[in-house]
Parts: sequence; C-alpha cells; structure tokens
Amino acid sequence: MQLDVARYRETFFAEAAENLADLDVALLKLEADPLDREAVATAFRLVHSLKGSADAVGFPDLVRFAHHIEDVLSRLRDDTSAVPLARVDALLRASNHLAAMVAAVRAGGPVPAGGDELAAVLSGTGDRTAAPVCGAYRVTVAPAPEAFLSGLDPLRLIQDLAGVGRVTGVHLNTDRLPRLAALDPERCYLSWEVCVETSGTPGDLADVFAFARHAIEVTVEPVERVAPPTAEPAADVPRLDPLWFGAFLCKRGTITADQLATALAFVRRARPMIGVLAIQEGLLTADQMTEVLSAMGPGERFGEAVVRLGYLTDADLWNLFLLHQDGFPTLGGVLVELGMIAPGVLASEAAAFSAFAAGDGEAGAPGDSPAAEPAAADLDYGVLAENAEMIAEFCTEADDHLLAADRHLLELDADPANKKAVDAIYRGYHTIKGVSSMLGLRAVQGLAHEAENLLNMARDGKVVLRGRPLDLAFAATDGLKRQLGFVRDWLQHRGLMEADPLLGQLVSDLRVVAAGADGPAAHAAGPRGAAPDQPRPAEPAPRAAAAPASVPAPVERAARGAVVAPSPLDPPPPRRSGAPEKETVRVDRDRLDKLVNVIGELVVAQAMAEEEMAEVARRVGVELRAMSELSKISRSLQELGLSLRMVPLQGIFQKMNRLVRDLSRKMDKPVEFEMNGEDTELDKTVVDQLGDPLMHMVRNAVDHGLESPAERVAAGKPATGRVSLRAYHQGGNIYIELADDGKGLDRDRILRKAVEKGIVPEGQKLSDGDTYDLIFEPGFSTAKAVTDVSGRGVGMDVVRRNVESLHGGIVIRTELGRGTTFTIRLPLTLAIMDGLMVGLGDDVYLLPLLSVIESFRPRRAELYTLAGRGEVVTARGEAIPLLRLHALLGRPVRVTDPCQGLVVLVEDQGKKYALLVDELLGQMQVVVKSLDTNFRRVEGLTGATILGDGRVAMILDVHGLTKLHGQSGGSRSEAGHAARAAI
Amino acid sequence: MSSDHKGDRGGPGSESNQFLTFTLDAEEYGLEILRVQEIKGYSKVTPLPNTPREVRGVMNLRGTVVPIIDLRSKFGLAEAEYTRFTVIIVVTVGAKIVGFVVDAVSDVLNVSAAEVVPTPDLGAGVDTTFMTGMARTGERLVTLLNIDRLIGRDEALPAVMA
Repeated sequence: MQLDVARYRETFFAEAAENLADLDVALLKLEADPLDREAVATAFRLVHSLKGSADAVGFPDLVRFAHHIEDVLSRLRDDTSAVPLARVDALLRASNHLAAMVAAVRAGGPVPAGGDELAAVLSGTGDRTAAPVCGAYRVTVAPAPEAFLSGLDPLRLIQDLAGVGRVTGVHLNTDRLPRLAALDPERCYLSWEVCVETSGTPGDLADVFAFARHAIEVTVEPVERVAPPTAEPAADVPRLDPLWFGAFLCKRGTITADQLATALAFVRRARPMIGVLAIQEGLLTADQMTEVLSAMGPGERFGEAVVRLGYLTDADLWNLFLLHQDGFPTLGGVLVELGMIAPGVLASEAAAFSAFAAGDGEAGAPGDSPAAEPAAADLDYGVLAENAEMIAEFCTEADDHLLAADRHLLELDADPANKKAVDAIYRGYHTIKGVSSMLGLRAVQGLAHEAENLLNMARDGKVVLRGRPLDLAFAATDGLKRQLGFVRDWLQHRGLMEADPLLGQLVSDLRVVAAGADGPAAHAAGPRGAAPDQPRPAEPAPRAAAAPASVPAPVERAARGAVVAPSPLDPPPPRRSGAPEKETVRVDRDRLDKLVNVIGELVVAQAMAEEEMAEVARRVGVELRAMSELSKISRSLQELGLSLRMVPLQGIFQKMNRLVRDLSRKMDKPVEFEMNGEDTELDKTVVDQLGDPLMHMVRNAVDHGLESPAERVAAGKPATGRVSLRAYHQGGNIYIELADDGKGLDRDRILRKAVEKGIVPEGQKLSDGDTYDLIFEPGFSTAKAVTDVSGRGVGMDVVRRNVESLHGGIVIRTELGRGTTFTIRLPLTLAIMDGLMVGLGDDVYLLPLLSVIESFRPRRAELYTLAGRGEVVTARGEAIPLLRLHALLGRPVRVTDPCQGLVVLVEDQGKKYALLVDELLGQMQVVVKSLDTNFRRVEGLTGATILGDGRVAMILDVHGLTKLHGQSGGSRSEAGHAARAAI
Repeated sequence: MSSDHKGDRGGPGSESNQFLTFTLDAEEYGLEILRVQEIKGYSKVTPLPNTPREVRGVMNLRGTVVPIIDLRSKFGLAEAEYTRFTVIIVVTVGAKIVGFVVDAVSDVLNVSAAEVVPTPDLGAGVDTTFMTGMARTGERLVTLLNIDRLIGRDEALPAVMA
C-alpha cells in the first residue's frame, strides 16, 4: 500500500508540475488581457484539479493554499469586469508559492512559510476592490503593564480594529519583555503596531479603545497608503542586497529582526521556479518540463536534469538563473507589502543605505546588528540547496581568498606593520562574509565576521597582528578552510552539514582578543613599544601622546561609531583597491580540456585541408595566400590553447610556506623559509599532483632534516634553520629544488636500517646514490621516534611515485652535517611537446626534442663493439652506447648498418645514448595523447600524437628505452655481434 | 505509463537484449549493442611496439587514440588478410574506447534471456570466462561476449591486454 501511495504521489507531482506551468501561462494571458474570461476559467480549473489531487494523495497544506487561490479565481470568474492587474500579480505570486510548496513537499521538506501572508494578500486584494479605501493608519497599541489586572484583553480590541477597516499587518513589539526569571505573568509587556486601511477617520480607530483609555495607550498616525502593486511599490527603489539592506534597516530600528526574518523568508520563497521561467521564456514546453520532473534522479536538481536531458544548454540555464534572480521580489517591496514599513520610509531608508554603502561597505555590514548573530541558528537547507551552484562557485572563490590570506599573514609574520597585507586579508574575510551570508552559510559567515572584526581592529591599529592575535588569524583562516570542507562535503553528499567542534572556541577566542583590544586600548601594542602605534589621524596627536594607555573605552567606541558616517579618512571601499589586479575567468576544467582537444583537431584538419587545397591549387595554377594565413592562425590558436593550462607554482609554494611556519611552531625549531621562482608556470595537471609530494618533502626537511636549535648551536651553525624552495626552467624541464641546511643524510645509518628491514642483503656494496635512493623505499624511515609530523615511512615513496607518474625524476644531494637538497625534474607540460620525427621502417616516431643532443651518420671508424656490453659509438671522444631502436621496439627496419642510417644522440638522467634510426623527418610541436586513456602505458613510449595527415605516431620515452636496453642486454650484444659481423 | 513498464517486466526471465553479431572465420559472435559506439571500415593502424600480437596498434578516431584489437588473434583463430569487408567495431568499455577487428558484421539479434544457454565447458585449454553464454536462434548458434571480461574494465584493462 505504502508503495502505491508513493507512486500516486509521483504521478501527482508530475501532474502538479504540468498544472502549475499551465496556470502560469493562463495567468500571464490574463495579465496581457484583463478581460480574458477564458484564462480565468482555465486557471480556476487548473487550481481546482490540483487541489483535488493534492487532497487525494494527502497533502493538506497544499489543499488549503490551493483553496485560497481557487476562491479568488472563482470570484473573478463570476465577475465580468476587467481583472485588476494587482490581483493578477498576487495570483502569479501565489502560483509561485504553490510551486514552491509542491517542490518542498516532493523533497520531503517542510512547507515553506509565507503562505498565510500571501493568502491574506490574495483575499485582501479582493476586499480592497470591494470597499474603496480612503486612508491607511498605523495604530500603536501599548497596554499599560497593569492592563491585565483590570480584566482587559488587548487581543479582543485589536481584533475589533478589523471591524473598522482592513488590517494589513500586525507587528508585535517585544522590546519591553524582560528575561524569563523577571517575568511577572500577570503583567503585560507587549505592545502592537497594527496597520489598518479604512474609509473611516482616525477617530473611528481610536474609538475602538475608547473604554480602555486608562489602561491602553493608543496612538493613531496616518501612513501613506500602500500603493496598489500596479505601481510597483518599490519600483523606484533600486534592487539592494536583501540581507545587507535588511540588517541596515534593523540597525536603524526601522524594522525588527523578527520582521526581517519573516520578510527574508518571503523574498526567498516568492521567487519563481526555473522550470516555470523556462516555459515563460519559451525554452521548454510544459510536456518537456513534466518529462524532466519525472526523469529527475534522486538528489538531482531540476537544472541538472534539464541540461542532462538536453532540453536546455548550460548557457540557457545560466540566463534563466539570472532571470530567476531578477524574479526575486525586493526586500523593500516585501516589507511594504507586509505592512512593516511605509513606502515613503522605504524610499528614504534605501537612499540612506545606498549613500552609506557607497561610503563604506563595512558600516552596512550585518555583523554589527542583532540580526547577524544567527551563527548558531539552524541552517536552512532548502535555501542552501537552491543556492548549490552559487555555493560551489563561492567555495572556489573563497579558496583563493584564504590562500591569499595565508600569504599575507605570512608577510605579517615577518613584518607586523605591513598595512597593505592587513587590508588585503581584511578584504578577503569581508568578501567571504558577505557572500556566505547571502548564501545562507551561517557558520562560515559567523567565523568570517569574527575574523574580519579582528582584522578591522588591526586596520585601526588597535591590535598588532603578532603573537596570539596573529595565531588566531591563522587559526581563523584554517577554520574557514575547514568550514569550506564541510560545505563541499555537503554539496557532494547532501544530508546534514557537518559542524566544526572547534568553531565555538575559535569564535570566542577571536571575540576575546577583539574585546581585549577594544577596552584598554593599545594594550597589545603599548608594552612592546617596538612597533610604533601609528597615531590615528582622527584624534589630535597631543592627546594620544599624553595618555596612550588610558584612552577610555567610550572614546574608542565613539571613534568606531564615527566609521559609520562616510568620512574621507576611511579606507577606500574594499572592492576597488588601487593596484590593477589580474582579471581572471574561471572555467570548468573539462571544458578547457575539450577546447584544447578541439583546437588540436582543428589544427590537424587545417593541415589536411591545406594539403588537399595545395594539390588542387597546383592543378589549377593559383596561389593560396589565405590558406597560409589560416595555418598561421590555427598554429597560434594551438599555442594559446595550450598555454591556457599553465599556472604558476605560487599557490603550492605558498602552502609550503605556511606548512613550514606551522611545523616550526609545533616543533620549536626556528626556521627561515626562502622561496624563489614561484612565478614559474607549469601545467595545471602537474601542479595539482605536485602538492602531496612537496608536502611530504617539506615535512621531512623540517622534521628530520633540521636539527634542534641546541644541536645546531653545538654544531656551530646558527640556531635558525634554513629551508629553501626554488623552481626554475632548464632545458625545457622545470626543476624544483628543496634544500635544507640540516644534518644531511647519514649513509651508514640508512644502510644499517635497510639491512635491518631486509631491503638490502647484509654486506651488499651500494653506491652513494643508490644508498640515498633507499629512503624512497616504501616503509623506510630512519627517524628514531615517530612524531605526528613524519617518520612513519610512508612519505618518501609517495614522493617518488607521484613524481614518476608525472614523467619526472628526483635526485638527492646531501652532505653529512651540511644539509640535503632534493631536486625534482618535471616536464613543462604533459599536454604538448616539441618532437623530432624519425622514420623507422614504414613507421614514424617522435623523440622529445628536449632529450635530443645531436644527430649524425657515424663513420665506420667510430663504431666499436665492447665485449658483452653491446655496441658503442664514439662522438667527440666519448664512447656512447648504441641502441638499435627497431630492436628495442621489435619493429622492422630498412637500415641495419649504422653507417647507412643515422644516430640520434639523446640524454637521459645525465647519461648519453645513441639511437639508430632510418632517417630524420623533421621537427614538430605535437599534442601528447596519453595511451592509457583507452589502453595502458607501453614501455618505451610516452604516448601518441596525431600527425598533420591524421595518422597516429608514437612518442618515444627515452628513459623507458634505456630501461628496455638495460633489460635486454643479452640480445643487445647479439645484435652487436651481428653488426660487427656485417662490418 | 508506469504500469506499461510493469507489464513488460512481468517475469524475470523474459528480458530481451539486442546483440550485434559478427563473424570470425566460421564462427558467429554477439556483442551487446548498447556498447557499440560505431562500426567502421578497416583503415591502416599505427602499430604499438612491445604489445601482444592481438593489439594491432592504434587508430585516430576523430582526435582520440583508440587501440585496435584483432579478435581472431585474440581468440587464437587463424589470422586472415584484411579485405574491404573487414570492419572495426568500436565499443566502449567503462571509460575506455576500444576497436575490434572482425571479419564482417552480420546482424542485429534480439535475444531473450530464456534463449541463452550457458557456455559449455570446453576443457582446460579454452578460456570461457569472457563468454556470457550461447544464444540459439533458428539453426544458428551465437556466442555472446562479455566485453568487460574480454577487455577488463579500467584497471583490469592492462592485465588482460598485456
């Protein structure tokens, strides 16, 4: 049975979606032609049937709300006059709300609030047309505390107001409400503001309370009548960020926090559904929408489904989102509609807010108002889910801000007076706070707010960011990173968002520091004296000098308060900083890869077209000027496309900088960290995979590499250790070098350990290099104690594996007692390569140009065979092993005599090899296609590429070839003998 | 509309699948048609050195490098000259795209689960793990292949191909 109901419900949802879409269409028709009875009848039918089926499957909330709409429509149907636009408007909103309710019920969530208000507005619209209104009044009803004692019931009286006119809004004022412990249940602490529209006089309203005048204070003041929505109450008010504007209003006492919350809920819920918008825009038919709704997978969103099914493109969806945003009613409009604020007041408040926001964004920040303390409040998952795309976007953006914050905090660590860094960090937190609050990420917002406060103090010179405050700023950045992690988890898995157990402590720590600085001013800076407390220009210098330590708190507050008014002394608005920043556009990685691929294909197709055209042109005898132009363009397009993937190493270096700082704190080892060449650019794929290995290496350097300060001093070194990280280009490779001036690798100890672990048999002789390479063995660790930093022996083998998977290599240089240097060699990019085309039999192979030194045809006298070690070619007095490429690859060949063919000298890890090939075919830049995409790695090959004529050519991996050569030593010498015999 | 579906799925044994059948020598094989991406005539492939004999090489399929496997060679049948009837069936295996060289494509076959008989035990020398079963249609006997086992999905791919 259960299952059956579920199935009916699914059918219902599909139907409801259809009904709602049609309803919108009907209402829009009505809006276009207010006399369209047909549209009214259609709308009525649709709502009626939706109500009926909702009842059948047991959704009482839907039934109730649908009934309201049906009611209004039924009255309209019986009327023959034109339907007022205001009412159509209200109906459209009601229809949106109904859609939201259906969506909420479908998702199993709570029914969105705001329906009652809407219903009131709906039926109110009806009443209003029935009874023309002359005036609107705000009646303040404030019973005396003893009112109850005389048996008075204010509620009755307020209800009586409805007899005089139409009540458009009631606001409860709880300002006088004491704490629970102090509450006397027999006293009245509440007062009300009732907005009434009436054709009567103010006296009529006051008369309702006539007999209770002794106990109730009543004031009646006229308010500007709510303009009918045809005139769009808030039309002249610009669209303001609802949260910030709301907070601003709260702060000025125009509305209360409760009112704001109600209004915001209304704003969020009243916006239209994407699907409905799509139908309105003609991008989707109602049938398609139904289909999408029924094809939606669990947890899938409508937008995702509609794109997946191919009804809309991403671009369409995005445009709809923008429309969707515009579809929000403004906060001001809603406030007016709910009778919480008069339109006139709204206009002046909005103007004040705009002036204010232009002066300094901070002043309008919700943080200072009571409304912005909702960190502890429950998350509204409905809102979060709706914002999922934006949240994902926000996470990436926030990452950047936090990364930058880390960088600037490190700058501050070195130079606490760095004002620019403080400003930059402040901006980062500020942005994170603003966006997270907009998206409803309360925990992020709360933490960012506290962090921002701290930085604001630093900006004002009330806190010097060093020692504890600086640590806290670091902690806040980490906390925000954790929060983002939770948010990301939630985006992936949904359900409940994880809460950070450390958050509360962090927030209160931040508050304590901020409060400490707010009270006894200059407390942090005063005793140190080292950092000159910059005299604030706002205060007369003599005073600051006279009593630096005893500036009374109120003065401080006043100074802070002054920030509220825009003043020339304020820092410039955060967003518009002076230095021109590099503008960037975020692009989905898949799309980028596809673009690069398509460009590659274009280049190939262009080359093929060129060949064909050349053939035609030869026959006809014309010149192909446009063609060569085209080829030039397509080549530069290719270069550009490939450069898109290159990113600087800065981000990753920054992380290491931070890591060193943290480790140095943790282990009480002072470390000086030096970075070089962080602008070096590398393929994003490579950079992404570099993070892990570098982290392990840096940990090792600080933990194992550097000695404790005492040991260092005893060894005659400065107590502060040095770790340096640098990156540079060399020969088309990128080298990343991590050096420390610590104790160096202990050859004997490594060897002992290796024997102990059974990695090396007892008594085996190993070269220095081979010995040091042992630290890359899995499970190898020479650390005496396993610390929580490193020493479990899982690090270095990960390093080697990752580096090798990037076609790179790693080399250790070390000197006992002097330090260790790890050098990682990496290819610039995995996507493109300069290659030398060589012919071998009928095949074409590419050699990475980077490894090629030279090529020549050897003379007979330059060829030798070494006993058991194969063939050798001498070049410039050097004996170089000769590798017969065809033999290594097991392919047929035209030339077997080296004196008839060509040898290409290549270099691999410092050693030279001579490769025997048939011929050289030229040089070209190629796009590397990995073989493991569809196949697997093949020994001796880096990958494949597609040549200009569409053929596939293999790219040779010199290192792999030399390994193959090493493995097949036997056959090598045989070949050698054969060659010898031929000579 | 959902009830229609219910009717189709009435009995567990009545599910029917479409198979693309092709010939190798005198034998007929079937591949799940949903896995077939395209069928194209044989064109020259670039050989891959140091790979097993059945890996004929790689081909450029609109910018993608696709390995080409000769199924005759894979199944240990006598190798044949490639003619103008020789075709490559491009299939998807997990995220990978692979091309099979076969003698000719013959038919699309509707096979209901009831028509599939398990592969008989052909003795130790014959690997039957990549066969789903045999389908008997009329007098023909078609061997249904399990591509995932034949090629191995993702990480298994190298192991089987090597």
